[in-house]
Amino acid sequence: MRKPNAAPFIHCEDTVNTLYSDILVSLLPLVIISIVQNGLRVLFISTLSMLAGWLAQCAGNFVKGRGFSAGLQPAITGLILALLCPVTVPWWLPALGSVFSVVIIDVVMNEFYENLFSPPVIGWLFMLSIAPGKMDTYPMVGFFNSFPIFKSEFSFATSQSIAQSLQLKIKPQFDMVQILTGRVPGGMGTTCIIVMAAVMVFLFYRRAVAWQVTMSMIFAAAVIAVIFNRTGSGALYSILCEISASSYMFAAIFIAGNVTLSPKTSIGRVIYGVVIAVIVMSLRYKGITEYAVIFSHIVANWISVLCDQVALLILTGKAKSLKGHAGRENYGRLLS
Amino acid sequence: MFIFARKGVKFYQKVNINTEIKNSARPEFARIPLAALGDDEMYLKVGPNELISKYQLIAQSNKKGLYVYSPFDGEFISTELLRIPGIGKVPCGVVKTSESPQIERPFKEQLPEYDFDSLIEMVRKSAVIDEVDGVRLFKKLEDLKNREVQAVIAYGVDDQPFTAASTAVLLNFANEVAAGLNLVAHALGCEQKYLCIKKNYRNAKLFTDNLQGIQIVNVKGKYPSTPAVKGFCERVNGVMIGVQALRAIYQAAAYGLPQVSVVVTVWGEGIAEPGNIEVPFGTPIKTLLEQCQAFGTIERVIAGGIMTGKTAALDSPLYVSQTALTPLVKTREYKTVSCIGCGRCGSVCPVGLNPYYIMGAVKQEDFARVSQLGAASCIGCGCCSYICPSCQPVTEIMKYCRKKAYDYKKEIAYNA
Repeated sequence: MRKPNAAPFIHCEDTVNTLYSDILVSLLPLVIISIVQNGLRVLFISTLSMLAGWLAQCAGNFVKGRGFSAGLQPAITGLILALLCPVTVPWWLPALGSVFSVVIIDVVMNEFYENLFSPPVIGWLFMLSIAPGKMDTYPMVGFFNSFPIFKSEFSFATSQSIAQSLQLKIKPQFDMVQILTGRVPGGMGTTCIIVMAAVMVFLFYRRAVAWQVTMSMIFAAAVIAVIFNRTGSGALYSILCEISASSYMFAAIFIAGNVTLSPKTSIGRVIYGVVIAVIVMSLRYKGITEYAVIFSHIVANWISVLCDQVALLILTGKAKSLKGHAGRENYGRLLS
Repeated sequence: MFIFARKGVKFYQKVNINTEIKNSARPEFARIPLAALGDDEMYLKVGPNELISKYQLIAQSNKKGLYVYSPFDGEFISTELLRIPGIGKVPCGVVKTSESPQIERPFKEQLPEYDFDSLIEMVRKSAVIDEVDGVRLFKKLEDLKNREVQAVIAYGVDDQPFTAASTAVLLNFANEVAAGLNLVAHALGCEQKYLCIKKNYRNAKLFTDNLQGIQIVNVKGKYPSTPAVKGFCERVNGVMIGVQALRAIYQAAAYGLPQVSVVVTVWGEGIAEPGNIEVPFGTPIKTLLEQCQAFGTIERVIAGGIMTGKTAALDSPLYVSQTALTPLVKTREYKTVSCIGCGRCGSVCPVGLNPYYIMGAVKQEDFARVSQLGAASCIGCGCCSYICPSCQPVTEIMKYCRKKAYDYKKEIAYNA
């Protein structure tokens, strides 16, 4: 606890806890929608993954001598990883991914490099690496599907996702309403665009995510989708397909929009979002679907600081119009 | 006309304070700050146990042109070294006050017209201090000798929470402020005259009749508004002066009175009757709190605004740059966690600094980079600390960085 000895003597309401609890609260509608579509197996997998991440962080802190406690961040990582998986994945997979990402990133790597990689991205990559067949096999969409809650392996009717259809250069078999309402195969909580748009607005309002990153990712992908239309249908349909395919919009909000990893300047954030979008779309046109979002995030995490440097360069160009704006004038010298 | 302060933080505070200005209660003992006493050039004009009257010159520096006048009638006791919040340890003259008789001051029907040099001389002799930055006004005006000024801007913005002193001065003495502004504008040969106000735009319309030829600039947006107003100042090639200083100029011109008081807002937790009080320099903070019926146990008193002020002792005297006094019954405690790198500090910084990168550089003791990142231009507004979700003392660290950046610049200049 800190009692301020110098000004300012007041503080705004927002703290790290409120920031993370906002993200956690905004993930809950996606869990509920998924439960409605896929049954209680979603609840089991999500809870287990959250718990596993949180306990891994607690254990890590305990080993480091910081007591057996942790904040909300590992639980969020666990929940994001669970929502990225199809409901039919073995129940232990998201939990294992969650433990892996928390231990590797939050416990080990953060001791040497702060905020180098996003834990959900590493967990996602890990899950795709150890069980690729499970991660891109999607069940048919229904209401309250009766998937066994505790079983790891079971048989189910499969369906082709939008990303897979586009990869095979086939027009996806879903109409726009189905895409908007999430009645398409995909990750457990990453398909319903309407709900995601609603939570996105909430998170923007609460400033819990970097809106510049999310919006630039979505807009850049939309522009590319219009110019290089792969669906053979209208521009709007192409946009919807591209931003809903392989959890793109979900990643734009909850992974790329993560304020701790994105650049610290507004222009840097826009560049960051555009770079992710361009990489994802380029990889998609080269035939890589499921891995495109992950690879783009790993590359983007590396270039986050570079995006800020480019932003500072752009701001330096504006220095003439910012006469007397000493802070920005100095950015020029930073780059020289 | 309006200026928009785009960057900064927003407070959701209703301005519902009474804008009437009361006179301060007379303290038994006053401690009048004698700014630079101890300097070879500054000497006392009164001796121990000498009776003094209000507005009497008590200390003077001929070379530096500093004058200190007594705000009270009474007996000069001695001098002592006291800590004044925001200024540091300064010698103060201890005065045992007595009741002042009401004296009618001769009013000059026709205000004298000053040219540039005579205005500086008048402002110097009247000991007028600009409450916006605490600088003696004559120094500010002397700096204009090498600059062609085209506008005079009166700064009447109260943008920190629990402050309303400028608004109160404008509502009660609009014509005096306007007259002061006209005097300065005439002396500087400026035709453009502006009055910057915030929130009280509707109120300002009430006294528009008194502001002949003065254009009202409504300052909108976030706290702090100073960088935006300074930007406006540069655009119109003007000079910014606080409304209380302008009023003091008018009083000096019309009545020949030096500035010996400042209007202070006493407002905050534990104050039963918040209000604006005209406080003679050297009045102890305790006297004001008693006058405003402070209740409960006050943990600390902040002099100079809750965002930028300093903790003050109850017996410490008030000075001109402290136009707000905020008692806190209980200082809130914040759970500090390590920086998560959210970048909010950079997004709110009104001068476009990025404390995240600056703090990273200072952690590595790379002071060249601290300087390159512009830490020297930090204005210490407190927005970064206010917004930080990790509750880090960002402003304190930035002040340290600013000092280091200055030191680095000095070193480079010295080596060159």
